[in-house]
Amino acid sequence: MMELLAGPLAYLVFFLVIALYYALITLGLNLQWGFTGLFNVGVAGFVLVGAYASAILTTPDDPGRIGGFGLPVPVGMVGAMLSAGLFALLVGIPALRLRHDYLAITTFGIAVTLQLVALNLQVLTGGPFGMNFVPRPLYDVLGGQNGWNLAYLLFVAALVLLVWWGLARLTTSPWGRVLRAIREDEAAAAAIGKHAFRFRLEAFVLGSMVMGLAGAVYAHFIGFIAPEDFLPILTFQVWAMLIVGGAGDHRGAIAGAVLVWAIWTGSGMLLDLFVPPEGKAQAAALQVAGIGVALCLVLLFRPTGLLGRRD
Amino acid sequence: MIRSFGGVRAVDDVSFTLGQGTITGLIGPNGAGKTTLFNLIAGSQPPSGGELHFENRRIDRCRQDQRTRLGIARTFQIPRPFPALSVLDNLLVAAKDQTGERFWRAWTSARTLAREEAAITERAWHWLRFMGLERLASAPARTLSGGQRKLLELARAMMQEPRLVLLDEPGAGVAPPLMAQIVDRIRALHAEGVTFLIIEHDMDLVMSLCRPVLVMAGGRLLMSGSPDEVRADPRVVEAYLGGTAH
Repeated sequence: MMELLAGPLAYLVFFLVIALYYALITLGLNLQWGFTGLFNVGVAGFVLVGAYASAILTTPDDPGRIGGFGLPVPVGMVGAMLSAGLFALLVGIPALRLRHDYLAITTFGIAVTLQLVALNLQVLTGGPFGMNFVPRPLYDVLGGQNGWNLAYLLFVAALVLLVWWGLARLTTSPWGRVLRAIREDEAAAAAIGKHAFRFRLEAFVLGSMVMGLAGAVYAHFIGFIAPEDFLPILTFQVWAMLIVGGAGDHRGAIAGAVLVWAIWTGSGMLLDLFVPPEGKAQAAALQVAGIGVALCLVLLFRPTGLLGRRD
Repeated sequence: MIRSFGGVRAVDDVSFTLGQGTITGLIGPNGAGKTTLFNLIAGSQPPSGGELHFENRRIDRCRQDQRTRLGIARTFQIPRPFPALSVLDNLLVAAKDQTGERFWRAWTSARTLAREEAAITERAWHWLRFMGLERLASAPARTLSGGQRKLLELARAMMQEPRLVLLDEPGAGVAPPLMAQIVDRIRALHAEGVTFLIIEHDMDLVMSLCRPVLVMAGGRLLMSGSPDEVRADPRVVEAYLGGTAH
């Protein structure tokens, strides 16, 4: 069994865990954009808050920085969701009163600021050196790297299913119906007695909590986080995933995440194979261009995405 | 009520009382301040001054959703259905005080939600049949004609169980057969005790439907009276023919 998990299969497991980490973030963005029309361009910031919150809560004590409470991983994950949610609440109360384009500018600015804070607030985040020893629960019990990766894949898959189920319950409820009405015409929704701001804020906070959970999932899988894990490119990737998969459909969000991550890693492998070492830095830009081309193709031939219902 | 935009008083010291159970017309030339007055009553714009009372309760500081809950509904000059939602969903979403609008209840109270949903669906079908829209229930609202959208907005307003309905030009851009249907439905709702305030440019419609009629011009309330009194008043003729009367 363990031998089977070596080589390509081991890579597939690793690939799927990361793809499902993206799927979680995309599900969060789908609630915000696909169902409510909230233009959040600061996705990376909410993932960062979740990742760091869980790392601070669960890592062992470190004399070099504040935190390191050594709490159990589930506590870290709940803490990640609450931190990202609280942060979204603080950002959302002023920002959600703004028009769409201003919300985009605000969230983008906040995500960049957070990344800089993580980079410079060494006493809390470890600064550019990041945070090491983020616990990987049951690592020894599960037979080392490959066995543990497989177990973690099952755990993350279960988490994605649970979040999908929870969000589907929400979006098919009267609450979700109001979100769609607000997305279609906020003034008309207000005219039929819906307090649009409350619903927008709730969707923003809940979506950000899912992003925070994804951050924790990432931190405990890799065991190490650093500020460059949460650059604006992450936001770009997640938006590409949602657009390709189809905004307004949970299955689309998950499918888009797996597909775009496959394109991303596949193009990276091809570049590794065919580009000489001296051209690697320039070739890396082709990965972003590849996603851009995929986006253009989807928007040209299937504007609602592969599974999207939004029209 | 007063509403200023910079130096312009769009609604300039307008004061009136709406009789319960009436169909009151609100007429005046373009730019008279009629729609702004609607926005002030519905709560989509805050007043610059003045007071608004509804059933012995001061409401000018209430939010729009609170006013809807008290029983004030409105429609728009250019109908604003939720285009991607089905006609039925357009009605369902408008029902007020739904338990399922609290997001956590979607996880915790499936049975209550199902029971409520069945009840409001039944009500929605009643209003769809009432407006003659039942065959379009599952069509996306964007596929409806202008007149059908007006009927949909009226049905959506009725889902809120209002006691006062503000109708902004229910006849504008509507084909004559549908127009007759809209007028007929307004009369039927009126017979059930709903009070209407109607902005309308179609004078025949106003004169046949509305008692009394308020006339606005240049942000001010020019006069109010029966349709015959309004028609005979030289100030009204002046307001329509001679531009805005200041």
